[in-house]
Amino acid sequence: MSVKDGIVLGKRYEVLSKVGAGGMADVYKGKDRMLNRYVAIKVLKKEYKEDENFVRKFRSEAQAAAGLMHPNIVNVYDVGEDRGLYYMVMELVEGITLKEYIEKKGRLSHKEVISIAIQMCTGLGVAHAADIIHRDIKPQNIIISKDGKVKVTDFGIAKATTSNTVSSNAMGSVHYTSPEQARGGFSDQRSDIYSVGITLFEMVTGQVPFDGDSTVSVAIKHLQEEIMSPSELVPDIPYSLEQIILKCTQKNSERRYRNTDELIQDMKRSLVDPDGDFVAIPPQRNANTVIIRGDELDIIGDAYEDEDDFDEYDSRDFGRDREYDEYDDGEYDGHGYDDDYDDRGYDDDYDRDYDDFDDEFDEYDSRHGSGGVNPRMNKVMKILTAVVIVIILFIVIFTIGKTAGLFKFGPTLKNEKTKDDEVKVPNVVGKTEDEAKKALNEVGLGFKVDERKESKQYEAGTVSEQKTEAGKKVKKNTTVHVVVSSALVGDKIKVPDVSGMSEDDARSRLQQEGFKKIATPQYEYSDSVAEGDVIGTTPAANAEATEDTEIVMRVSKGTEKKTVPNLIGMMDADAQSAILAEGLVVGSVGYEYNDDVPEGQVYAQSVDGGKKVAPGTAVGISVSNGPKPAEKVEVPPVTDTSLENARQLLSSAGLSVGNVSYQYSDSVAAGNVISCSPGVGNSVEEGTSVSLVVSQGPKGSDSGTDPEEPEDPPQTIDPGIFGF
Amino acid sequence: MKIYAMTDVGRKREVNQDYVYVTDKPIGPFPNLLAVADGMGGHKAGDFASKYTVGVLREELENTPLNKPEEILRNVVSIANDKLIEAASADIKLEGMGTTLVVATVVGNTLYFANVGDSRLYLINEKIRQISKDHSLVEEMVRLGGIKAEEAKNHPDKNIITRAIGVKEGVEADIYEYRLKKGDMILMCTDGLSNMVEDEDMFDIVRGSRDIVEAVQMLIEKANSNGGRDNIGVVMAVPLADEVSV
Repeated sequence: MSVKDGIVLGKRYEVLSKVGAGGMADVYKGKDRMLNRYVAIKVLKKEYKEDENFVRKFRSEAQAAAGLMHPNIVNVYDVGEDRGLYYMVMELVEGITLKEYIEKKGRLSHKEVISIAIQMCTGLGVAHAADIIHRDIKPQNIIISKDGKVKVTDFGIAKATTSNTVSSNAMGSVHYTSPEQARGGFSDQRSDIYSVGITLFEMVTGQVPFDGDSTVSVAIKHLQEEIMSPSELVPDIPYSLEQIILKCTQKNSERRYRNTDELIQDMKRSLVDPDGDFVAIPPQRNANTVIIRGDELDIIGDAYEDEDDFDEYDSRDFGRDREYDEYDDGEYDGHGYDDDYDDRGYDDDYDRDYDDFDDEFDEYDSRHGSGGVNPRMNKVMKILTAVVIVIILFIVIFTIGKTAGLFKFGPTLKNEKTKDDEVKVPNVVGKTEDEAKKALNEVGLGFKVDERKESKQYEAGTVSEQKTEAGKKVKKNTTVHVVVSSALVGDKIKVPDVSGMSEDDARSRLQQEGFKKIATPQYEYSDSVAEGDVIGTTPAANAEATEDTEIVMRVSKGTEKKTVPNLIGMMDADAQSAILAEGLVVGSVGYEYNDDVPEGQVYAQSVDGGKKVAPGTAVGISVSNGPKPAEKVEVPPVTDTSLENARQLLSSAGLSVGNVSYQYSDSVAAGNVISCSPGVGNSVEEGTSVSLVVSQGPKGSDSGTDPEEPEDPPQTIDPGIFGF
Repeated sequence: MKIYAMTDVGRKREVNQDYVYVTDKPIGPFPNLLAVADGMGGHKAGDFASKYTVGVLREELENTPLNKPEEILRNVVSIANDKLIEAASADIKLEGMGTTLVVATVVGNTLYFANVGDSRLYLINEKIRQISKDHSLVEEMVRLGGIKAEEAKNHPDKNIITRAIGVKEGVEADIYEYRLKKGDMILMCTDGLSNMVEDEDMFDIVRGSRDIVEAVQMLIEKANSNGGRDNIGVVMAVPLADEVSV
């Protein structure tokens, strides 16, 4: 049976009209006769219903999705089969997709980006909590409804696998696919987080980070190419938002946010402290670009050879990598801000204001009705503007709350104008008096010792306490008050020299020595210490300490990477100076003819613009010599010679064969060339195609009869026995 | 040349969208013709696409003005592509259809063939060798070094092909020319065989058969007993002694 308007599926859902078609299913507007409401009905396309595995997966995942109910999810009401049609009944959402919205607006404002992303991640988080991985998060699957809600749709089913052969042209986009999905490996909620990161990138910059002319080239880029920093396209992107995007899109899933909650927390914080440095991306383990450890991948791969990814997902031990666990715990517990911030500060107010705003919207709707230019679009725009207003409101509330002591901790709200005058307070606890003074003075802060007293943690002469917290932003020339230890009391331990060790080894060494408090490491660039290795500690090696002393390791992030400038279109000399200006080296410079590029202009570079590379990396360029002067050749004497001969003559002259037509001729022997165009002896450009007219002999001499077409059934021809 | 071809719906599908065609009689300038095609698209569209494409090839071969086998192959495949696109745009029920194609001929002691998609041509002699290169997302990623061969084996996107007849204008076929040696046997098949039966097992089956009829039947049986998840199309050909170089 095929779907026609007016048919009723499952004796309940009346199909009204087709509203869209996706890769795997057609979507209809319908009516639920039992509950008397409009719904969307998704009907699986026929070619997929023949694939039993696929249908089973479609049903089981749709059923799982049907259990999810949340305002940020397009809810699935029912799944069923009727007369051979597999269908899914869903909430009917009127609105536009995020893709369309981005296309209309080009780029979204940072606050709008975060507002949309928080809602998107909230919906996604609900699914993750139920062990449902979306696997196909992209702006096309995010709907902004008429009433301004952001809803995630197409849970689970989008990536149900089929063994049907499909063309890559027909398949969905791989622009948002995580490296592990491209690799066909294990995917989990962090794969969705990667796709969220790519979606964030697109909202901020208006373009996807990895693009290419084929599915394969895009997939390979996800696997191999480092993502471009969004700030290269949008220089005014807040630092924290950029870091959030970079953390989401790490190649190694272990380095991304572990779940949507962590991501939402950072996004909320980014709203109030856009330039804060609070997004921690763990450094790469190895200096080279190995993405997932091979052995681990193999284990994962083996575990997943059974086709059903879902069931086994649960049993996986996410805590296997102790290092990252500790890192995460340390990071967030250390700040101790989430609870109050989250529960009281944001959610309630945000939601309440959001509702108010919904009412506002209704008013707007009734006033304007359906008149005006593209009213739907206008509405959505207006709504999103209103969302931004709500966020600003929230910031005000937050600030008031903070000053009223509602929040234990919160980053200082910044005033744009004083931005340049502000500096971040460095950590000086554990440093000697001199070191501390120097560290503070370097960033333009003053140093004052308030008192000296005994410390259970820090040796005499080192700072045991700083009155302004590290990481806080303060005006330049502010004095930071500190307490300096006059003597260390308690059982003393010497701080071991762990420099040059890997972070893990250093941590165990410190633990062995008896240190109980090993803080979240600080990650710094270093030219001399390999990425992932320890540069030093505070307090420094050989300092006296006790088991309660907090040891902060400084870990190398590797050499500071340089950004390759985009050189295409620059003049030769400018391009070379641009390379040198970045601290890079000019590689080979090639000069070639190029028809499309004016002489002297760069048309290719050996390393793509925007790529991050080590200082001193050579960047080669190709410079145009202008269009190649066309070589002229003469058409060789091809007449009165066999067609085959003529072909060879033409091809050795650098010409190609154009149309070959046949004519009767009394004077030229059958099979020989009668004439050509352009004619013999003409001077033409190399590569010109020359048409030939070939003789069929005198008229009437054609003795060839068309052989009857042998009708060969596509089966056995010669089942003769032969030996191997 | 001894030729045998067979296609089977498999165990899981209702419709057979694979199509095979062989003849040892001349078609146009070709002394013989071997073809396998794996159609894709909706209910009727997939089997239409594979059959129609081979039909166009036969017709165009009869009328080709060209005489170099590789040029002929390139030309007729390109025409078949245009015609299939045209057919798809003329009938809404056929929209989105396409097909893979391996088409081959043996002229003297030389095998010429064209490939588009992920159907395969193997040569079997002392060992089994896949000569055609798959135009599939996963295989191309392996070739470009994006993923490892082991990762490709059970990749969920194995079914995605990057080239097909009837999907996009200007499709390019890979054209191969190969001098046949004594003992070479030609095996062409759709992914319904190559995804279900390991290359080594194909080799053992062919080697253990009395003749190509038995070999083809056993290959299909093996694909089915391994699950038969897709349609299976198989063509085998063995050149006669005067068709190989010594």
